[in-house]
Amino acid sequence: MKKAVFYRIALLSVFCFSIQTQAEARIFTDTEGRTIEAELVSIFRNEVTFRRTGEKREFTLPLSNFAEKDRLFIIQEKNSGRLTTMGYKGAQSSEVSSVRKSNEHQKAAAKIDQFLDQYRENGNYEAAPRTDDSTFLRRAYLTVIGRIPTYAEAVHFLNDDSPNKRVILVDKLLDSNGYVSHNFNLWADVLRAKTTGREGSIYGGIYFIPWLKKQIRENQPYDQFVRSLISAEGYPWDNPATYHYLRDFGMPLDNMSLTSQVFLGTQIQCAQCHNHPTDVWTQKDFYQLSAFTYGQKTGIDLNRENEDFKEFSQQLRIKRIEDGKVGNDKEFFSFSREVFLPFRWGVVKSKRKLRMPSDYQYDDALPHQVVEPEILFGEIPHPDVEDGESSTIDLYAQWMTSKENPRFSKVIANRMWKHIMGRGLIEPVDQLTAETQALSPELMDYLESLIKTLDYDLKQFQRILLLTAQFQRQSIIDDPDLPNDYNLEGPVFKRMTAEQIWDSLATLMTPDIDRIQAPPYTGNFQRVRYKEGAPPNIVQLVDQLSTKNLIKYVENISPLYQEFLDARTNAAKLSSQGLDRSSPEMRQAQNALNQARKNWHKTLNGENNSLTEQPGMSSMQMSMSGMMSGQPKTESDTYQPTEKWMRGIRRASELSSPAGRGHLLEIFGQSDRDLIENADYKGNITQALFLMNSPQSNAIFAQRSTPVLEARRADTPEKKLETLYIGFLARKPTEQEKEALLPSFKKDPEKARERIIWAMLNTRQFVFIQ
Amino acid sequence: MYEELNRLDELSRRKFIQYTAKAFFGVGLTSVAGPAWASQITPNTTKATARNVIYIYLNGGMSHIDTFDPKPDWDDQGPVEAIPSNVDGIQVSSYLPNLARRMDKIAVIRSMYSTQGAHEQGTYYMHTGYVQRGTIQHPGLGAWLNSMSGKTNSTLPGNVRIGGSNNTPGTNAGFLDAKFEPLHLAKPGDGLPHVVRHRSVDEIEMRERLALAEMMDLTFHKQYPAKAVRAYDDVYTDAIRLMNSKDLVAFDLSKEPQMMHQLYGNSQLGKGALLARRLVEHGVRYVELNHGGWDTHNDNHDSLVNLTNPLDHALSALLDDLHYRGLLEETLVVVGTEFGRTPEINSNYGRNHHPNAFTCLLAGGGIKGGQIYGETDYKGQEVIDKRVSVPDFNATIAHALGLPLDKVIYSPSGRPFTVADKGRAVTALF
Repeated sequence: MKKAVFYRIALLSVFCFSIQTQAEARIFTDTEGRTIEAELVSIFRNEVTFRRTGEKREFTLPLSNFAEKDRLFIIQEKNSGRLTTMGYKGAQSSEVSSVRKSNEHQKAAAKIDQFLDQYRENGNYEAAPRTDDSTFLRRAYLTVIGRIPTYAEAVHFLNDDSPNKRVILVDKLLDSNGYVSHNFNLWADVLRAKTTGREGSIYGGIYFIPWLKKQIRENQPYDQFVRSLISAEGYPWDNPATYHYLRDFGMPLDNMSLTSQVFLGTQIQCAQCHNHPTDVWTQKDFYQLSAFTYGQKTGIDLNRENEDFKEFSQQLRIKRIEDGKVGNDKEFFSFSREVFLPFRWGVVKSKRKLRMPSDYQYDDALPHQVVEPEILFGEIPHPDVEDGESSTIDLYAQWMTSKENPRFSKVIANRMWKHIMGRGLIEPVDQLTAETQALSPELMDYLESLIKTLDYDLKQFQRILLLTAQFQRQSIIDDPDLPNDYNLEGPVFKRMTAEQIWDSLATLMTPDIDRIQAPPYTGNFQRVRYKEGAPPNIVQLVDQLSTKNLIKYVENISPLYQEFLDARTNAAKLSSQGLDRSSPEMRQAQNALNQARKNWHKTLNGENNSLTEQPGMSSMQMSMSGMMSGQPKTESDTYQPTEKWMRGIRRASELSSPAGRGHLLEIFGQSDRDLIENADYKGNITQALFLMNSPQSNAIFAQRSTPVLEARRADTPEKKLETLYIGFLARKPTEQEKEALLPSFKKDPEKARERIIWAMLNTRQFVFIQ
Repeated sequence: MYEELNRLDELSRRKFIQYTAKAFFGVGLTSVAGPAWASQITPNTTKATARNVIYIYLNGGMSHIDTFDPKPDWDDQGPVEAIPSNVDGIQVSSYLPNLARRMDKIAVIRSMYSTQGAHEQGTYYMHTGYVQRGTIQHPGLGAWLNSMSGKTNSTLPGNVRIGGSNNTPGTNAGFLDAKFEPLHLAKPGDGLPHVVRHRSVDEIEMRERLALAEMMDLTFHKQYPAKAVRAYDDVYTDAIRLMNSKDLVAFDLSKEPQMMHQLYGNSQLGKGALLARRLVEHGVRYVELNHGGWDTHNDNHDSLVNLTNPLDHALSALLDDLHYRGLLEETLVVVGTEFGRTPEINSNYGRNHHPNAFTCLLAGGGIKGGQIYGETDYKGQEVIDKRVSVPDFNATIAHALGLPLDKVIYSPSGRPFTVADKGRAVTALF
């Protein structure tokens, strides 16, 4: 009877075309190998209730009916408390905005194909044929969500008879968590988003990266997204978009030229020091454009630009005089500045004026002359808006993101085309000049108008491109050495990005990889700890405490700082006397210093529990401090060639950005995110050595990857072989391959499996996208 | 090759694959007989003064006036002082006490200037001698060297980069073959990961596996005869050759005595320099050490204390060590950076980018030490004597290596290029 339910559902899928996909949907397999797409609803003892995607009806099945990996998944969800008799929490906190579906999309896709047909007809080029299902499957997964399909996902698609199944797949992928992950990687490269170093901590990267994912998850319209970056002000924990400016702390001119490169595809950095040698921009143009953003000052002067600190200092001064502590007060004030350090790194709208450089050499302006803002091309949409100081940056943001701006829409439409089809109609995507011509200017114009019609809804735009016949064609080689060899015959053949390779390997080990999210990011700068989701400790205190209590707090912690300073002076003194490091005296001094330093750091970051009972500390703050000290740290993501590698394995988007030195992601060319889109796609010896000799290739994948677990259940050698092929390469073995491999499989299945898996990982087709 | 394959019947095809795999990879599976020292070097038209390069690249833009071009009388010089060196008349900053005692080995070029003021473009320019373009990738000097005059050791890579990012602009092989790509070592202390066959795999099994992977790719290769795919085939050949190299020990820093580690210092740069020496000793011709953090827009002087300290130790140790081993004569040691920094201090106590004037160093490899070449004005703002452009600097390195500066090499798209883009070597330095 229980089997019959699975049967009915399998039958239903044939008739079910317009499926409304949920973010929670997952593919389950029963012990017979049949698959359904469904979401968990609840569990009672060993009876699991679930809802098939696109339906309201619920079904209940015993746990034993599910394939092993699904049993493990369900038990894991149950043990974690997410799945109970009352319901299923899943990954609700991160619900992905589902793509708007419209019949207009099909029409737009058809129109794009018309332009392409026209282009090929004019040039007498031949369109590539339509791909088979396996090639489409693998490319669709890699293009939309950045990883290969799991075995269950692949089987589900390949066995589906629905004529509409490619559309259904695309829609499912667009609405999944994997979409967020994959698109995050794209923007992290473009916007140089880092969680490490100064960028991660004081420049706000650890706040920016979750925010960026949120924009993608909620499918924020692109023009609004850009406007929030351009007009950002404040502190990164309040407004993570400020990372856009803080990222280039103290370099407003560089920031401006990088911004125009990214969003307008216009490179004017040469004109920073002299008139552009190959383009039309003059140095004056550069300065005039910079004058718009120059007011967004990075770096905040505590004494003049932070009201909280001003108030605090004033009150502190009064109190110190009352207490009669005038003597060493200079030191105390510098100490209090130390405590307030995190407030230095923010963006403030200032009235400062940009001046021409002192060595300005041309006749159209004088050195040191104040520069008035002036746009590069087009028009400012509402030139009459002039309500005081705040309008300059808003005017600039409006001009940049306006539908009238001749480059804004072109750049993003072209970037998205490249994202889906592998190559821009204009290359490079961020270096437009007056002479730039798209491969098909008519198509480029159409894409531009399309993205405007969609009000910069990037998900809908991607959907349209994915629905084209073009996306379903076989991919075509575009040799960078032969400039005219690619003529839009089909999408472009490419190596996977480093993230696609990593995420695909991760998928092989953990089929539910898309659900695993990064633990909160943390960053440290000097003594201050930054943590995703909450401002640094001192910022929280300023919010919660009255000025009077804040002064009390600062006075209370000052002895610990003094202890630290004294310990440091003492250690330095002994060291300068030439004392040996291993001498007991020196060791004692060093230990004292370490202890004092640790105490001071903990105190500064609100992790010193003995201090939570200070007067004026709210219970909220107390619980915060307790919580924070107990939170696990994000482990460093350096590559560990052991089984540890498997524990805590996450998608690239959920690791530190960029991943550490020597990490597999780096080896396969992940961008360092110091420079715009600095990823690399070439092979190197280190990659080959990993793929040939690592424990992963030789043992871990052969023993524990999902396709292997699946293959164990298959009853014939043919089926086992097919399972491995589908799991790793998303295709079935050819007749020749079967003929060559089955004999060894029958003879020594264990060894054959190890060999076959090793070989599949070391094929070219594994790292390339067809 | 794949057309041929297709014409064969199944059985002979399988045999053929087995055979090609053996032929193809056989080179690497058994060690190459005899040392390959110098055997592959083609005779040069000009006489080379150096065989190898160790290039210390300071990423971010080294402040020239706080290091090798101090301006004691300039208002914004800051806390750093100029100290005398072991060469009369040459002063360096007090951040570099050890190098000051070795200036007799070093030529200081104080008259460098660049046309590129941003990191990416500047770094690319320094490494390739060409201004970055959207339409072509120029090769870095290491790739030029290996493609024009070959490797010294046939089993080790000829081009290695230690530290920095795997994607440092301009350091790769550009339009040249992928086999000239540098081998990237993220952390010098880690050696070369996965260079040994997995314990469960013997030589025969390895061959079987390689042949099997080839077979699985048959159709794929036929459908996608792309350059990028072929490059991967080359990479595998090189990787297997490397696995079987007798000189793998070159990558193992633990073979160095403790004293050596202490001399070079415990910094990444120190370890990198020590590794560079080991590699050069074993016949690697071009090693770049990439050292980051020199972009001192904020708190310039505090940052420089931490940056110059490892440089001072590592470079001093490297010069001494190469000298005692008799390797300094044939090894050109280069210190380069993408630009200098402004004489003026900005509002964040830092210095900004300054391509108009900066300093680079050359030592060993036929370079006459103990000399200053070129001069900047009183505050290090402009070059006032013997300007050296970035292509000139690269041409000087190429000249030392005996590479023909006028030889035109065509990219696969048919465009002509020369090493160092028509820069002129500064022969006064030799």
